[in-house]
Amino acid sequence: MTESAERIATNLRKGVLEFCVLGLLAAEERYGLELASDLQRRGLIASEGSLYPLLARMRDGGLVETRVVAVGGGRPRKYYTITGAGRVQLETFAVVWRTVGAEVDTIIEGAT
Amino acid sequence: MNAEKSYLRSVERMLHGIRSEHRASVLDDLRGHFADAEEAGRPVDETIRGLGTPRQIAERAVEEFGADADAVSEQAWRLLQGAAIGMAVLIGVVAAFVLPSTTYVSQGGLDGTEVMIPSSTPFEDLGLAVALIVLIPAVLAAIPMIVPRRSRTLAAAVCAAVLTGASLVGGFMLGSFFLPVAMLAWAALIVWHVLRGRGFGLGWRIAGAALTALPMLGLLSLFGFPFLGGMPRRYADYSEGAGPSLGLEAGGWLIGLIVVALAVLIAVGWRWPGWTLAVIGFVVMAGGLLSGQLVTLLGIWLGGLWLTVGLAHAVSARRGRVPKADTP
Repeated sequence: MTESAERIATNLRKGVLEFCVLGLLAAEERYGLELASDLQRRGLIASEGSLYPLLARMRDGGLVETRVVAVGGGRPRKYYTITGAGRVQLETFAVVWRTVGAEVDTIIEGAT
Repeated sequence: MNAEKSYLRSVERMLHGIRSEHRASVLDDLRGHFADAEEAGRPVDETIRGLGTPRQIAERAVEEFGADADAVSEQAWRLLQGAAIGMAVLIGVVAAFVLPSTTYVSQGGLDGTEVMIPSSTPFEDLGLAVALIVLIPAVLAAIPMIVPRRSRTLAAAVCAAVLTGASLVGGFMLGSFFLPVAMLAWAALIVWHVLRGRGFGLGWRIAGAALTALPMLGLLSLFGFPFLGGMPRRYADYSEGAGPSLGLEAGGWLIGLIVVALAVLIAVGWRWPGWTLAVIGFVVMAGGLLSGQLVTLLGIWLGGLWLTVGLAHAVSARRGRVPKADTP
């Protein structure tokens, strides 16, 4: 990716990352590493560490909650799940995204 | 394991401006991330590479939560108030157990010349009672730390006022040794309030720089400019060689120049000159405390002033770069 493409992608991802997390959690609950690896594989985050401040803020805002499950050796593992408020937020985003996306597509197709 | 620990410690340090429950949550998640990655067979260095630098995480955290003014001001306040307590204990111990009081002794000549000679320490004169008295400033400085937060302003102001009063009323007696404690206590209170409000702007920094440089200008006018005909005189010149030097010789002027340069850098807004000035202030104070006699008080006040301004600047100057908004 060229430098300017990289910058555009960074700015766009910043705006949608929160809703991608909600979308992934709407399908099933996930633990941190799982979620981070998935997002990085999809090219939605540059580094896995940046996910955790976002998750902390989303939990603060009541969009996600955590459940602790004991895994091998009795070690606790924190699973993130989406809340009712999170689902509402995700639906709102979906509507906005489709409208904005369609408009952007129309403009770009006319210009290029 | 060590690489993981030092990575987490580094993240923790970088997140100091974030409220503690957010910081704990992020660190908790990172620990889980490391444990799960290890279980999945990922080498630690690969996990660390994938996570990105601690700075990247901190910048993201500031974007998510905003620089938490409350946490920053609380930390700055604790450091300054803690410094006041430490200083009170240090000065108290030195004043009671180390510093000799001086007595005038006639030399017995016809002219009745008197000289000051060091006699016993206050502890030797007055016993354990003096140890309790000299610890009063430390107790006063500690009170604001233990009262509930909502009464902090009142408690801190009252304690700082009592410390100031005791320092000034004390004249050249023991009380005046504690002026730096009062200065630190006031600085703590001011920094706490200003950081929670509008923050320190250029005006504050210039005022701090002026406070720092002013004593040097005062000394210059007192002793003459070394390069403009005025000799850098020593206290010894006035006391016919009997008194101690005030240290305004080459070394003294060099320190003065450094201090003035630091003051300028503080006004510009750099952070490290604050720490440097605080260290110089501490050294001057320690030198004053241990030198005895007249220079003691000058050293303690001057050093205390530099220590206070330097520390206050260092803890309140902006930390690192503030991440820019999403403008392309």
